This record gives sequence, C-alpha cells and structure tokens, in this order.
Amino acid sequence: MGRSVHETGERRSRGSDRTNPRRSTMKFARAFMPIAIAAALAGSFVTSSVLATDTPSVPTTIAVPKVYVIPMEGQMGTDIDKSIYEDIVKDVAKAKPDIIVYRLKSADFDDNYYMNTDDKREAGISKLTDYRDMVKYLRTELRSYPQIMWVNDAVGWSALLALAWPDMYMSSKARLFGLVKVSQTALGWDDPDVAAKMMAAWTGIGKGFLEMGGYPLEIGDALMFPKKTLSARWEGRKVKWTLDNEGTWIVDDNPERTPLLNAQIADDSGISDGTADSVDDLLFMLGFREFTKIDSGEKLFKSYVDDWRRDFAKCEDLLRQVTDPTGTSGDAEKAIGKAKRAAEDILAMMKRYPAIETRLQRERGVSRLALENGIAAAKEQLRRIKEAERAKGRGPGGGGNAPGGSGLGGGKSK
Amino acid sequence: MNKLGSQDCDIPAGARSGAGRSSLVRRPFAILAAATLLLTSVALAETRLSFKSGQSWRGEIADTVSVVYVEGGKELTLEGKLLRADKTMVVVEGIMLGKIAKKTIFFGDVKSMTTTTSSAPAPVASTSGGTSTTTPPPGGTSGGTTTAAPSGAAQSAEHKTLPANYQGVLFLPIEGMVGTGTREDEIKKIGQEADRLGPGQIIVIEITSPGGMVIEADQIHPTIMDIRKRHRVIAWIKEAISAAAFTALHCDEIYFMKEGAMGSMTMFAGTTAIQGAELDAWLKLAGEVAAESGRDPQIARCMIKKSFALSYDIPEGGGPKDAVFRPDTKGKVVLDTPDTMLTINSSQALACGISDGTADTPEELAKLLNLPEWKEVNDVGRRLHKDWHRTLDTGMEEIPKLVFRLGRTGGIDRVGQIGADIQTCEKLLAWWAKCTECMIELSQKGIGVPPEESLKERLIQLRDELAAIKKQERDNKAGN
Repeated sequence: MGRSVHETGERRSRGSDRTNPRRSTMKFARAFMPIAIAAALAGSFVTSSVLATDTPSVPTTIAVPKVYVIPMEGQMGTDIDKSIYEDIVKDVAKAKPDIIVYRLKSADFDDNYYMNTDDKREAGISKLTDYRDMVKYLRTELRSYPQIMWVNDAVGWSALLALAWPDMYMSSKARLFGLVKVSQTALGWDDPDVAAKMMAAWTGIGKGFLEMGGYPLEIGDALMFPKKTLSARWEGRKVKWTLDNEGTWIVDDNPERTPLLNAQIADDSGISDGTADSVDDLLFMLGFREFTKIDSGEKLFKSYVDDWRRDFAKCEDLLRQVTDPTGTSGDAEKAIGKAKRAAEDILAMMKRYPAIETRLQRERGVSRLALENGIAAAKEQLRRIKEAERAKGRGPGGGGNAPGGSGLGGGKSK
Repeated sequence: MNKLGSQDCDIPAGARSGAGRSSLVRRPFAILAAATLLLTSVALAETRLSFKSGQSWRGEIADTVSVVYVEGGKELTLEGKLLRADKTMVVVEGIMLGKIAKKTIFFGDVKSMTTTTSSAPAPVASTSGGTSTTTPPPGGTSGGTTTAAPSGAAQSAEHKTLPANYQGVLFLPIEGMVGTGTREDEIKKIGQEADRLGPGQIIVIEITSPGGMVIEADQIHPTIMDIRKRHRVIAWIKEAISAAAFTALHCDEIYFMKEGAMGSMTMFAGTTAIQGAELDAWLKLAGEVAAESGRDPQIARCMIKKSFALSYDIPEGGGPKDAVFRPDTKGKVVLDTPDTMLTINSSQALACGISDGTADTPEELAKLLNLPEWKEVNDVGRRLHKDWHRTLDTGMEEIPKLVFRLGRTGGIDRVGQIGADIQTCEKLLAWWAKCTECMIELSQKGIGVPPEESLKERLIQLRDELAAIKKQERDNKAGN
C-alpha cells in the first residue's frame, strides 16, 4: 500500500518562510476539507490579499477517476507550443475528466552532455513570455480540474513548466535543471546598469513561473544564477531556503554551476510531492487504485507533432526548389513558377504550424516576410516575362523596358 | 515645463532634453497608515537634519513643523506633524485641500524647516507669500497660488467604498511596447470615458508590457495624474517592465497577477544608461511618482540604478503596508542588493505593501477591490485595445511588404511601374497617418521604411513623370 493521503499531506512541506497560509495543497485539502472551507470563509473577511487560484483538490468521492494525460514532450517552442494545447483544452471540455496530469519530458541535452552529441537544433527555443502565457492559459482554462505536473525530465526552458504547478511529482530518473538559460537571455550588455536591468527583467519574468507554482523564489534564483548557492534548513515542518551555504542541507555550493534537482532531492526537500515512475504509481500515490485513462489528449499531441515534423521535413526539399528549382530545362518562366509554388507551399505550412516558422527562422534564416516578398517578386518576374513576350509578338516598337529583377528561381531567359 | 526627451528605456533614440513636470494632484494617505508610519519611523530621541539649502533643523519625530519647500518652481509651505525623517526626505502629515494627508519632501527641495508650538495639524500648504487657499488649481503650475492636493492613502481609504454612481469598472488592457502597443492615447480615451460617466469611476488597467519609449511614458505621466484627480485608477500587472513599471507606479492601487513582475526602470540610449543630470532628474521624478501614490520613493530608485540597495522591516504587529524601507541590506527582508536592479515579483510586492493584492482573474480582483462582482460598465476599454492592436498588427504585416514592392512592381511598361509605385507610396503615406508607431518600430527593426517627407517628394516626382509621359504620348499621337 502506498502512502496515504493523510500521511503525504502532513509530510509535505514546501516553501520558505513566506508560505502563503491560504494556499491549500491537494493533499491538505483532501485531508482537512471541512476545516479548509471554514478557514477560507473566515479568511475572506480578513485582509488577506492573495486569493487561492490553485486548481481544485483531487476528488475524494470518486472511486475510479477519469484521468486525462496532457503530454508536454519534445522541443520547447515547437512540439510544446500553445497552439496544440488550444485543441487539447477543447477536447478536455468534451472529455470532462476528474484529474488532469501533465506529462513533461523535454530536455535540451541528455545525461551525457559532455559528449556533445545532442542535436542542438532540438534544443528549446527562447520564448519566455510565450511559455508564461501558455502556462497561464492552461491553468486558467482548465482551472475547474485538479491538475498535476508529472516531470519525466525537464532540462532547459521546460524546467519553468515543471515549477509552474503547485502539485508536482517526478519520475525517478527525472532531472530539473537548466534555467541558466533565463539569465543567459540577458547577457551581452556592457553598461552595468543596462545589464542589471535586463537581467532583473528576464529573471523576474522567469520567477513568475515559480510564483504560479508557489515555489520559493530562492530556488528560482539558484537555478538561474550559477554564482548563487542554495541550502535548506527545516523549521518544524517548513523548509526554509537560503542562497548561501548556511543551511543544514547544502543543495548547491558550487558558485560556478547551477544545481541539478533530481527526483530524490526534490522529494526529500519537499519541492516535489513524490516520485512516481508511471501514471499508475502516480494515481496510487494520490490514493486511487483504479482509474480510467483518457488518451485523446495524447493522440492529439502525437498527431500534431507527427504532422508538423513531417511537413517540416518536406520544407527542406522545398527550400531547395526555391533556390535552385530542378526539372525546368533552363526555362526561366518554368523555373520561377516552380520556385514560387515551392515558396507558397512553405508559407502555407508556416501558417498552419508556427513550429515550422520557428525552426526555419532559427536554422535557415527564412522568415515569413522573406517568403512573401520572394513570392511577390516571382509574380512580378512572371508578369514581366509575359508582357515581354506579348510585346515581342506585336512586333518591332512594341513593349517597353523589360528589366531584370531579383527574386526566386534561376535559369536562362528565353 | 520641460518635457522629458525622447530617450527610450529600451529602444535607442535621441538624448533627453531635461526634466520637469507639471505639479501633481496629491491624495491623502490612510490615517491608519500614517499613524503606523509614525510608530515605525526612524525615531531617535532627537533628530538633526541638514538640508542642501544650508538650513538645519533639530527636533523630534512627531513634532509639529513648518516646512518651506520648492515644487514645480514654486515655493510652498506645509505645516504638520513630522512623521519621518531620514537621510533623503521628510514626511509630514498636514491638512491639504481639507483632508489630512502625508507629504514626502526630498531634502533637495527643502528650504527650511522649523518647529511650531502648535501640536494640531496646521492649515493648508500655501505659497511663501502667505496666501492660503483650499481650492486646487485646474492642473499644472500656471502661476498664482499652488496647493498640494491630497495624496494616496486617505483617498484610497475613501475609494474602498463604492461611489454612489457605481455601475461597474472600466477595464483597459494595455499590451506591448510603450510607444507602440501601449500608448497614452488609449489611457486618455478611457479617462474621457470615465469623465463621461461621472466622477469616481474605477479604471482597471491591465499591464503586459516590456517597456519602451520614454517619450510615450512622458505623455502617460500627466494623463494618469490628471485622471486620478477624478477617478480611482488601478494597475493590474502581468508584466510591467521599465516604462510600463513607471506607468504602474502612477496608479492609486497596484495588484499583481501571480506571474507578475515589475521593475527595471533604467533608462538608456543605444546601449548606455543615462548619467548625470538626466539620471538625477529621472530618479527624482520616479521617486516622486511613487511617493504621490503612497509608495516609498526608494523602491522606484532601486528600479533605476543598480548601485542602490533596498531592504525593509515590518514592525512587530504591523502588516505589509507598515513596511519601513531602508537604502541598504540591513533590513530583515532584502529586496535589492547593490549589484542588482530591482524587479519585484507578486509575493515580494505583497509582503511589503508595494502591491495591494494578488489576483489571477477578474473575479478575484473584484473581491480585492471590494466590489460585489466583476462587472464592466461597457467594453470601451477592450475595444480601444482591440481596435488599436488590429491596426498595429495589420500595419506590421502590410508595411514591410509595401516597402519591398516600392520600385519593384508594375510590369515592364514604365507607365505601369509608375502607377504601381504611386499606389504603394499612397498606401505607405496612409500608414504614416494611421500608425506612425508602426512605421517607427519597423524602421528601428531595419525594414527600411521611407520617411514620410521622402515619400511625399517621391509621389510628386512620380506624378510629374507620369504626366510627362502622357503628354509625350499625346504629342506623338498628334504628330502622327
């Protein structure tokens, strides 16, 4: 038998001495629901300026809950993008689950990062405010459902997602690491005040994720700034985090690196609510021996990832057609036409999948604007070719200038 | 009044031309907050202050004093109880415009301070000529008698009760760079809508902005201060960085969303932060704006200059609004160190009273505002935001294409080319008229937007060329 709700509820402690007294964790609410309700009602008459916006507690009266799994897997900024979650939110409304589990698995590099074999093209995209808005969207749109973050791996930008939900579990091999990317976003300014401004702004936005999850900002600072160390001490059941080595438990004392939180550290320190290697284990820890898994979200997500990556792969060939169209036998008009069509196909894919636009921009420097302008230039070239032909057809004296122009395609003129 | 120059907080622009501002309406602080501040102020058995004017004062906190100070170019006198005195400012509680109010006066503005024999709050602030008045000027320091209007706390205490004409809130989202997405224009219009509905409206400005143009912030400043004279203005922060943080500081109340962040108000041009007199003026203005809204000016200053530090203590039995800030790291809670800039998150802001509460949804915000429910009087604010952003988004998409097409379309025939270019020039000029902000932002992004004057000249040239060609054709025909 796993840990009981009451045990984990009492065992779990989180946060620094700034723990919000009105914030109820899932387990506490399950264990002390009547008291919590009474306290909340009493508290509403007290000048407390934080209102609980956390999602509802895991239901206590349902024997076999319906669990909807929402994958957050792959590359941040492409696979994990708000566009797919808009479809998933609609599906959740139809499915009406009892519990939502976000399954997070996104790592910018593998364990053997020193081997330098990871595909850097698959590293997370720098889109901090987009991720913030995506999290806010999910937490708001799905606020009537209990939500659990289940971290299978979170290295890089994805670590922000891991820390944006209060109820968080990790799998035994999961890592929570890599937020130095947030502070690195602000680098590159020589003026000390401007540099400090940018650093404070970006890391402040980054720490907003921890605020949403209810985690101490000291953890955010330690994960974002290598020079900050991190230790913890217990004051009763509460964990107090400090950015130094003075605590009882030193999590990070290396001023040149940020800490890597594995499942054990996270569990022992109360950052996570527990360690679970499967949805079964996870639900068991929540007190459910049985549950029904709704997999439509996983299907939607897989379909989205497969579709955009398939189209992205097509873009490689299409880009070749844009710059060097084949099979035109030197016919300029055909070449330009073929290049134009290839560009139009890429543009259509970019509009259908923002992920494609993101990757092409990053890897090939190809933007939507550049394609649109290229298509416009190609249309103009084709028009001029036709006009020149018509003018020739009218005989001497017809037509005007037929200037060359830059644009898509190649080949010789007729 | 010297306007602030066009230096941008985040986008390079020209140099600032100097600082200055119109006199501001002040609102009284809550009596309770004032009393608490009295208890928690840095109180010594005897305090000695030396002002830059060369004058000095010796006395105790809670003495009744008469302070002669300069504001907006005018010399004013305020009598009241000394609540606080530290190395940079004094805080005096007196009666202004018929209400008890707190006034923060920086040392640099104090000409003299004397202890009076009376222990009761004294009458209104007056000019040094001794004329007193209870009537506020219509706005600005336009000569004659100037009075200090009520500052934040007392009026916010009044604000917590709904006005008799309450129908709901006026909600205005502002989003995007200050100067493009976030503009004074929309804020002014929501103020006009509030005026139309009658005094005492509740205006909620939801802020999601990374900052931007100082010149726009300079326009937002008097607009919000004016609106605040008649209405309750609330900032609800998702992201308020740089000029957006400055905007938020103007508001009567500040609420954060959980993910909210506010700060980093360093002003810079190119890649260099402003220095010297410009910096001093910016520090002063930002501090005064914070003080006018009932917040410690040190908070604003730490958002501008890295070398400032900030910490606070809350006296025993006190709450967040009783936080006593200090310009070092010796307080119990350190918000900013001398090697960092201050950007503050929701829990930090709440804990020290910078924020009045944290709310993630309008319904939650309504509760914090003591409203019976979240109800918007109308959708004027939302439409202002939507309409402007539609224009902005369309412009940002269409203008680069028009720029590309200039000189590249129209076929092989010169007449066709001229015709196409005339159309493109006319469209670009229309965009200059409709969305100057788009044109400026795209220029700064390197899109190569032709300046308005150059487009007008080109249009004239094109029309002249077209006329000449047509004339030539007619002549040729006539000749044939």
